[in-house]
Amino acid sequence: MKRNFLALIIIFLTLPLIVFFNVKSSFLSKPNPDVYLYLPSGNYLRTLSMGNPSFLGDLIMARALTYFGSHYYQRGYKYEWLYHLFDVLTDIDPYNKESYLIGARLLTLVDVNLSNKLLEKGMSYHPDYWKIPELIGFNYFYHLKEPAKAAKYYEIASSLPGHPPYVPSLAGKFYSEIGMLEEAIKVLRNFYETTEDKRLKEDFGEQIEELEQKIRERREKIPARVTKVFDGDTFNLIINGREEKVRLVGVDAPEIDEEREKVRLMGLLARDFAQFHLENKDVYILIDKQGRDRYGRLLIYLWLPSMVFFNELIIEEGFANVYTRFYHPYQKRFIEAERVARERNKGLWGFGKEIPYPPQDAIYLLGKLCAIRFKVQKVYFGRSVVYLQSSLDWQRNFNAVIFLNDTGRFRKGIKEYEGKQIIVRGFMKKYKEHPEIIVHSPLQIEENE
Amino acid sequence: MRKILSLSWVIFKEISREKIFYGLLFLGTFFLLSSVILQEMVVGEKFKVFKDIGLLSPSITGVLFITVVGANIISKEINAKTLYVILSKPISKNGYILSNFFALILLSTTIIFLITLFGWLFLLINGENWLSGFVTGAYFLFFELLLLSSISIFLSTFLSPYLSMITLFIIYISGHSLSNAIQLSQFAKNPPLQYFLKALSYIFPNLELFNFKINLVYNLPFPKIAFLYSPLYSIVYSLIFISLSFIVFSKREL
Repeated sequence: MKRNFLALIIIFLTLPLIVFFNVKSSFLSKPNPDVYLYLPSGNYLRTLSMGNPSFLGDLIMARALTYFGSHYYQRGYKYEWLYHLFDVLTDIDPYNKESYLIGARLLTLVDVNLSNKLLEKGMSYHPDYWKIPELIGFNYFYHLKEPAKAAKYYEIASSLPGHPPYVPSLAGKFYSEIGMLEEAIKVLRNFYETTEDKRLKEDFGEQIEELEQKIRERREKIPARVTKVFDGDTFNLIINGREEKVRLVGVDAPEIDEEREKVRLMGLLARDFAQFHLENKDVYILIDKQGRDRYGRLLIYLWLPSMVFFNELIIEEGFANVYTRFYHPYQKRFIEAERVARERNKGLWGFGKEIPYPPQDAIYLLGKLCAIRFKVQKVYFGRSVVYLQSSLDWQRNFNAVIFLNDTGRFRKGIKEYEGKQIIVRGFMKKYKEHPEIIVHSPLQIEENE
Repeated sequence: MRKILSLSWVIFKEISREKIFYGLLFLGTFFLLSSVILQEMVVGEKFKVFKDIGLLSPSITGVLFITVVGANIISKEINAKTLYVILSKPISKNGYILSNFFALILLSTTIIFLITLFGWLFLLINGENWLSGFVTGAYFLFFELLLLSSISIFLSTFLSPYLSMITLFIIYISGHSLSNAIQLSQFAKNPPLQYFLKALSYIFPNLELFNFKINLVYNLPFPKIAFLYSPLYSIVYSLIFISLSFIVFSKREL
């Protein structure tokens, strides 16, 4: 009895010690590895799961999400293993539709192309699940700015059962945006004929009618192709096989051969805008009654393939003024468009007042006059251009580009921008997958320390 | 036959009073409850984790039970010399094997039933009635365990408990992995390995025939003939192994 009593005392005394050791021994525990080098391919893991791939999939999904979550607040973290994790996960358990969608949404933070790769894999396992092509379409439209591909995937999604009405509607929107009006009508009509909802039917019917009207309008116009953009309102077109120099009616864009630096810059930005919308594109035109102006240029009205009226668009977006010397039927519309553009500081009217964005947002500013604030990681001299690079990682790079013949305008050496924080203003466009702003003038760069 | 059944009943009652039986039931239930944590960490279909674990838990518990208890069921009585008491009663050696086999089946059925029931109730409390999935899962699991029981009885007639446990476990693993491994070996470009795996697959039971968990969880169709084919497969194998046990056990000097 006495001996047992002693044992009890020892137990009671040592019990807190054990707790203490257990709490304190965390310093001996191994660090949680972040690197998944040891995570073998999904095919092997599926074999090891002994017939329980679905359960193993749950475990790996939990790991993938903690991996993502644990780095979420580290800015600029690259999540190098995220694709591998979801690739393995979908190898082990390819039937879990949700894991493709979740993985793809997270992967857009890493690389949108990887996100699409995962989704393409999902499509091969679930060819009748509309959400997967819908998400690819979204990636193309929102992150990659490729409406043609977005339209294609939204069309696939709208051919699958269970899709909501916005899917065919968006497919139609993107098709008409790139001027493929017939395809747009086809997608919308498919939905129109199968839906039973009265209001949707009415709505889609209206959209179809609108598009058909556009096609009729388009037939009355002359097809042409833009070969060269001189400035905001003067281009070379091929009309009926003949190259013609043309000028937009009622539009007055700033001149590019001006002495004054500011005006010259405005002219070049207006040219950037016109190039973005027109260069090497098929367009539709009507020739004005006046025929030619005193320089022999054909006076025209110009429509984009989507039947957007370009004469009005360039004024509306603030890249040109109305030219009121001669009367034309659209004059009132143009004057009103200019008033609104001026009031809202659109385009050139707001130059210098743009809110600067970080370089990773550049792609979302495509086709807009905008400002990007970034640190110049490297100044790279190419054959004909100089790049101010925002990142050394080419995948997420945004560049400010200076043509070599413009470098003389910079009083200060361009090399000196390296390592400096600057704000670049200009027209955002895409060149070989990368967003870039062309710097025509030192006025576009502002040092920002 | 009545003697055999009554002996089975006695064995059943005896083992169902053992700690390992409750221990495994507890383990299975604990595993079910742990799905709450995992469910929180996973995004996706709402009850997927509950379903995964609800099907996995009875399977793991059942297999562990047969491995541990089946390996001991005969050797224990030999060691404790209680076997002589039984065999001196009017019951044959074959009858003794059969009654052990039936007892094992009865016990594993109880485990499947109870844990599947818990799993179903657990999911029901959480808001989904998934009876069809659990019943189908339990149906196939029953025949898988039937097969494993017969192998276990066979092994324990001539192997020591530990050796028999390990052997059964290897058979279980290879039974679930072989068909997959054969597919994988095609990538290895190693013909001898492929032939070896092929040869193994002709002898080892293919336990994947009883595994439709993925199909059940994701509601994927699988051939209805499996409801007949898999049980038949299991019964044929069991007949072979039980007959083998008869032969081996009759040759054994006690």
